[in-house]
Amino acid sequence: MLTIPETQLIAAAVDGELSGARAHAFRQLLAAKPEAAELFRALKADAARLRPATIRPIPVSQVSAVLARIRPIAQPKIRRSAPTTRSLLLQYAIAASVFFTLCSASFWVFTAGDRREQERVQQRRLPVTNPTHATPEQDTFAIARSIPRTPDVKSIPEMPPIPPEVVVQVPKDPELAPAPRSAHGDVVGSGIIENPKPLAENALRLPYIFAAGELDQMDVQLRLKEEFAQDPAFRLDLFSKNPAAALELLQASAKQVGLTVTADARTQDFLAKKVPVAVAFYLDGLTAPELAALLANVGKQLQTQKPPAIGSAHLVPMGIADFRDVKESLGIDLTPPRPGRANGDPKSISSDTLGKVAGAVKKATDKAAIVVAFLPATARTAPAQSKEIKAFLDKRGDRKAGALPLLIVLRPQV
Amino acid sequence: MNPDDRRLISEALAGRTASFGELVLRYQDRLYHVANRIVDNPDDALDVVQDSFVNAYQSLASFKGDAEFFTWLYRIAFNTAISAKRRKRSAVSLDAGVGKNGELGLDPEDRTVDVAPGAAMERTEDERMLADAVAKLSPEHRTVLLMKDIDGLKYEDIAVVMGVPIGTVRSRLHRARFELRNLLEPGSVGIVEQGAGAASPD
Repeated sequence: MLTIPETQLIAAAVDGELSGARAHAFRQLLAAKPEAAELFRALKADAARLRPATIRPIPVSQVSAVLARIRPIAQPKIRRSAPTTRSLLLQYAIAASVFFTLCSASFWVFTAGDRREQERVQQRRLPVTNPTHATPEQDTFAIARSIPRTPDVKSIPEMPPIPPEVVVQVPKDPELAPAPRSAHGDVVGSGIIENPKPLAENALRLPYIFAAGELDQMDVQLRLKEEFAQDPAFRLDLFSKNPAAALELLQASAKQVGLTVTADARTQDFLAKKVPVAVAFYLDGLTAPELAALLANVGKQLQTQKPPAIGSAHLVPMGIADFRDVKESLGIDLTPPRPGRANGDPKSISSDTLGKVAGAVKKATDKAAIVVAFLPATARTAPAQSKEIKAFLDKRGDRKAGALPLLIVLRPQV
Repeated sequence: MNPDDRRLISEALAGRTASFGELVLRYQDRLYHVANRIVDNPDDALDVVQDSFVNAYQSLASFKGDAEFFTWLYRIAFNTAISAKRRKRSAVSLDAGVGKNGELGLDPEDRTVDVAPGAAMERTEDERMLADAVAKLSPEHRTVLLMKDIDGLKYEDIAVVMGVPIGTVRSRLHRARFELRNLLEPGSVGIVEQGAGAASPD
């Protein structure tokens, strides 16, 4: 007896709309179940009966009739609409602003001389704030007296004479600068440093960029193993023009290495509606060699697809931002302990040891993976609200020794 | 999109109506086939084809080229044919006045709104059985089945024409195929077991 997913697969095959991974599953189904092959043949025959052998030509060609009707329509002309009230008002507003600007500029130019006179008068009226520091050249009253008077200025009352004690006498012999300090040793060169300390080395890690279709190649596998040995957690970005097919391929590859894949309900909804969103495929139950084998499976399956569902791949060690993403999306804290606080606060043996041991015995340690939408921080929901994520966390249990967390982010490529 | 179509469209937009004439010549047979299946009358189908091309020309500037030109044309013809069929049904019902049983001629339920597939076929016995079975399908299932098998549209194109998600198209096609199989050979498809993840969007 066939299941509903199997009949859906057969119907899609009759429609001729199977992706690479589903086509593979379809071939396996045909090989495994004879009734599936029989049903496929019957449905295919129904479709062939419906399909007409030839399409009858139209009895009367419509070319001339259509052309006669479309000629009066001015399709290519870009018609300029009649000016509306708003556009008229806009034109008046522009003209008024230009006129106002010209008037303002003319007024400013013609009154510039008067303004300069006013400034001079103001300068004369200003008192000297600190006459002890004024030099004879800076003496305001002297400057004022040097300016030739205009008929308008004559009305200003005569200033009182300057008292002689206000004017500062500048010393004729200024004080010399102090002598330069004496320098010991060679000032220009650094001299010979005895017993220098060794320089600190900083290794620069660049993302490992490669074609996803080469994941099963020997050189890529070796490089992956080298990379996996260097850091505690990794992120693998996969770029795909067909994220749904790529996700199916990932799921099929994961199943081959014994992983149980769970998809978040919200993510399933996104995928069903074909929302172009990045999808995160998180797993932390596999060791480095197992991860390499999983990725090799992906590479093998990609080689059977034309065009491949995944294009390029970037492998980078997880950083602080990735740790935060994993914590906010899945509730898993991968942040490495700070130096010196590795063991945390000391606790007595009897505080919660019994509970931890009991919990570890109860929890299953299946190899599990979870698929969630990789959304921006503002659009994320708390992991506790998703029963699939909770089930994944329960199934995942404690991470086994040597297991390497890997966050595969499937990014839609435009 | 077909490069030839793209060239002809750009020339038509630039004012060369002869290029649009080439597009008419290229697609009028297929469009007539679709229209005839929906309105079930050769003369009405000709009118639908003509109106569809004129409507397409008027809104040619809005065609962005992200889908096939025929899919876009198909959608226009589909809507034009349905409008024509509705108009004709209303006119016939109003002319008929009061029916045999005293009810008004206006039929509120439009069950044959999209297709009447048997009328345009050669009526051999085998084809008559097939046409009867297709006619028994629900309108939604019948429409997607004929769009797929007769017009050869893809899931994406059917979704665009019908204005539904692709998942709905896939689900309707799956149900339509099994319904048709059971109508042609009753009991040929057994009741399937409920499998995991069988939720369908429709």
